[in-house]
Amino acid sequence: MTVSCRDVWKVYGPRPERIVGSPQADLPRSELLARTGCVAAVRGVSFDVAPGEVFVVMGLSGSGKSTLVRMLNRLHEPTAGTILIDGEDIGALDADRLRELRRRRVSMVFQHFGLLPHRRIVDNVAFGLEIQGVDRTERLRRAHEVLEVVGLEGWADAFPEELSGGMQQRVGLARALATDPEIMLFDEPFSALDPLIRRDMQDEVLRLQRELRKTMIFITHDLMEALKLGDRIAVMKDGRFVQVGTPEEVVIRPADAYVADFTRDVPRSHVLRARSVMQPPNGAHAFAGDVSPETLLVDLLPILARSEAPLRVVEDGRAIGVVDRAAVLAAMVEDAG
Amino acid sequence: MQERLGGSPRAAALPGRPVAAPGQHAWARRAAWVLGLGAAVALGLRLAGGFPERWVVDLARSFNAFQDWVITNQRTHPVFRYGLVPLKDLVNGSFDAIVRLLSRMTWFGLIATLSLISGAAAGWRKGVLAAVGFGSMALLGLWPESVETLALMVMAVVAALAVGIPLGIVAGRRPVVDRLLRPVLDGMQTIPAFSYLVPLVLLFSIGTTTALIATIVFALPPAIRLTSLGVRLVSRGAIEVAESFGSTRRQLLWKVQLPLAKPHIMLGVNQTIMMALGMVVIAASVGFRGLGRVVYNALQRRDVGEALAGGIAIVVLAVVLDRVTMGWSERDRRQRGVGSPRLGRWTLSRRAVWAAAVAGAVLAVVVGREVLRQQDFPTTWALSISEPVNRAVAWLTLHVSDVTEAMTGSMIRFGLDPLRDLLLGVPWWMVAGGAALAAWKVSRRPGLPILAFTCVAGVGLVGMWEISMDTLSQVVVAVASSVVLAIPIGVWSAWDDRVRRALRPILDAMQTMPQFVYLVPVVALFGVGRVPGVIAALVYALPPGIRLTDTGIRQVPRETVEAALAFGSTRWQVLTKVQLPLARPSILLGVNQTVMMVLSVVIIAGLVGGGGLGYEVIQGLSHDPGRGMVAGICILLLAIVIDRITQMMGRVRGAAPAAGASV
Repeated sequence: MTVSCRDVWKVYGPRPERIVGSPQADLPRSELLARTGCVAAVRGVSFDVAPGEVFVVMGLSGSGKSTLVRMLNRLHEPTAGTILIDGEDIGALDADRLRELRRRRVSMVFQHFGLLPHRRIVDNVAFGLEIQGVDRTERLRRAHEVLEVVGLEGWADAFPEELSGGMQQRVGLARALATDPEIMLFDEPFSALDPLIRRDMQDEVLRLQRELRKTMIFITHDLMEALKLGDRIAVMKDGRFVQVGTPEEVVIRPADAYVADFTRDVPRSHVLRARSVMQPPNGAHAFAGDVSPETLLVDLLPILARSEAPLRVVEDGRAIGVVDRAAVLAAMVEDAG
Repeated sequence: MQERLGGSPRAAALPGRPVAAPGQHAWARRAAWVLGLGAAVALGLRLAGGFPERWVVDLARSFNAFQDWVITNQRTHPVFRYGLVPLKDLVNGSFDAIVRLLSRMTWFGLIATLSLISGAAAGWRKGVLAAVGFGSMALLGLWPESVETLALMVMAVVAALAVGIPLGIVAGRRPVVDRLLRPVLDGMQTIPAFSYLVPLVLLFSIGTTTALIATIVFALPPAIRLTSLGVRLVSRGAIEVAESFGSTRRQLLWKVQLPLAKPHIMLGVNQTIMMALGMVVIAASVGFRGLGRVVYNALQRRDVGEALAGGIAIVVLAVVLDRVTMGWSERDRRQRGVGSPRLGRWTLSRRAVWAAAVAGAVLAVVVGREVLRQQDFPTTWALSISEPVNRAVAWLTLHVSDVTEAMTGSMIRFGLDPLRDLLLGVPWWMVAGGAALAAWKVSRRPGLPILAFTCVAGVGLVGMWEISMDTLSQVVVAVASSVVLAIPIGVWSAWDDRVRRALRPILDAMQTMPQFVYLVPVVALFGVGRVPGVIAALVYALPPGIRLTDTGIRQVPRETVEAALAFGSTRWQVLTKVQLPLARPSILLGVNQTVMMVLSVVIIAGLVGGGGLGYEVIQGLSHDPGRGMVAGICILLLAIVIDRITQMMGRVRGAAPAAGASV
């Protein structure tokens, strides 16, 4: 596992360690604050992220998700629990080794971009390398390369305030990529952007992920964004994970009423994939076409609308099932549960 | 007696507070107040007024004894031999060296160098301004004095920045340090410039060292404050970014905090320079030469023409220094966000500009030394304005003296004298109790009233009661007139953009001029005495009152005003029911600044016959340092009381309903 969290807590307030694991931790927030002066932002969270996985933490504001992601590079110190990166306990790192971790292995993209207004774009992108001590020519060369990857090569000498929000966040993304980290942390990176630009940026992240296979931990309050980007999604509420699963699982089998309420309005056709509605091969031989088991239902609909014939689901050149119009329609109207 | 004075109206006032009091109650309450106060004063006037002699503690003698001890021991005692005397020698030596260096550059070389540096740093327009400015100082025939003033400025500003910026950085990064420094800086900024001089005179006697140290200390607070503020204002986000990429603390400072704090630091540099100039001029009273001395001596001789020449030179210097440093920092901020390709060339050319400026400066110095061969500006080229000015003043005095004399007379008869007689007519504890009562009204806590009572009583204890009450009456009259003038002008300026645009350059210029200079024209018109001091003070204090009234009214949300208009309010109703109440915190802040500015000028007015504590300090500086020290302490005590009370007015009133409800 690239990132492993075991029973991680963050409590703010006087003598926070006494709250960890105590019955008080289960009190409602206001009552805990009134009785102890403490706020439990993250309460006993455990999860594992595999190499190359996109792990999305979704929750409303105040659910503790931003605190959680900041503990992964110890911008915030956990009150209790263990965080392992490549099997190494980062809580045990001294100041120098922690800086090395931040400089080379983990980088972060921020909600409000966090660009430094007094530096040109190229110097912003090269910031992480500059901190590492990379010499000027080399870091500028690398920064120009990365700017090309995010499509901003013409803006290297501009200053942040000359760029639109979307472009600024591309710079933020380029800055995080420039140090070539294995793990990238995203703290609600697109929530400050307009919907159309947000969609572009999400596509950009998916593209980079396909090409570079970074391990990404992505914080968002936007369910649709979580469903679109996440290999797995953790739904967070009041500092706890209430459900961890694939997008399909979260929508089809919500763990509780809270998650169900959240996912109620999600069009199921945008989450369900051919694999989960297909039937075993049944001997039919007239097909409207072949699709991969990962195809979303919404993409099957146009084909099925044109033809009465079912679709064949093919994986690794082998037919593993069939999908017909009735199965798709049934899945789309089925109640959650 | 104080119990009754404080107790009964408060008891009447309090029940009304929690609920929104109906109009009648408010009237009744106010009437009760007025009656209560009137009765108390009437009673007080029948009692023995002033402060009882037998309680007075003679501190002056101890201070003088201390100075005698200093004089007898300064050759032998280790503190002097290894501490203060070498320090004094160092200061005098460096000052002489700088003056010599600047003089050797010759007047032509120095003006060219200063103008070229200004031009390279702040743009060619500022360069021209500097050339014209310094040139006119030479033309006024005040070149050697200008060089001396400039030399002390350079020393003081460099020292103040060398101490202030690092201290500000530390304070900005460590909240503990900031919390420790803040009350010290608050205190330093409450003390009027004059009071810094006396204790230094006790140690160093009069001269350059005293002037320099006083200037450094006086100019230090803005450098510390603004650096610290700039560092603290760097967003949490920017710091997190740097940390997330693994910055060390040093990298964080140099790559993120300092660059982002730069605009504030530059503003701090500007303010430090302006404060230093204000002090360098006042330092004339401790025997420092330079431009301040010209004005000081001329005012003593009542040679208005000569004083005006010196005053003009000081104002020109202030304007040049202010505009150039502001232009520099603005340009520094603007260079960002210029299109990228041009910027590449711009950076290059900036280096070229600097190289050209340095080359030009060297050339000018060579020309000055080898071609013109004039170290000082030739006296034959100088224009003497003092003759024509004195003639004009004589003419003016002849023609407007009726008006000014009438003004002077009525201000004394209806303002200064009755107030002073009142303050001196009632017993001291009634004055102190009144201050305490006012402090209670604004703070509703026991701390401030106790402080107010103690400070006012302290003034009596050290034997300066009558003199302090004289000063206090001048302050009150000046503040009241200043506020009465400033608020309507501020309202007008908030209503009408044209007025605001017209006022802007005037107010800018007024805020650039050192306090000392205000005395010159006033003396020309009103002669010497208490009234010119009061008038100089009230004029000097106008800008913040006008500006903060304007800002306060303009900050009232548009929608709130529109809501009032939608209900059919007249302009007057909008002003009195919406704009002024909402602008109140801002206006009260203006009042606080007005009070502090008035106090500082009223004290300097001791130079032109204003009497009061200022006169004692000035006398003390040359004849009787002990008594000067005591007067300085009284100024400090009054300043503390007045500052804290007026500051609280702005702060607590906003929260008054909540505080009232909990009572």
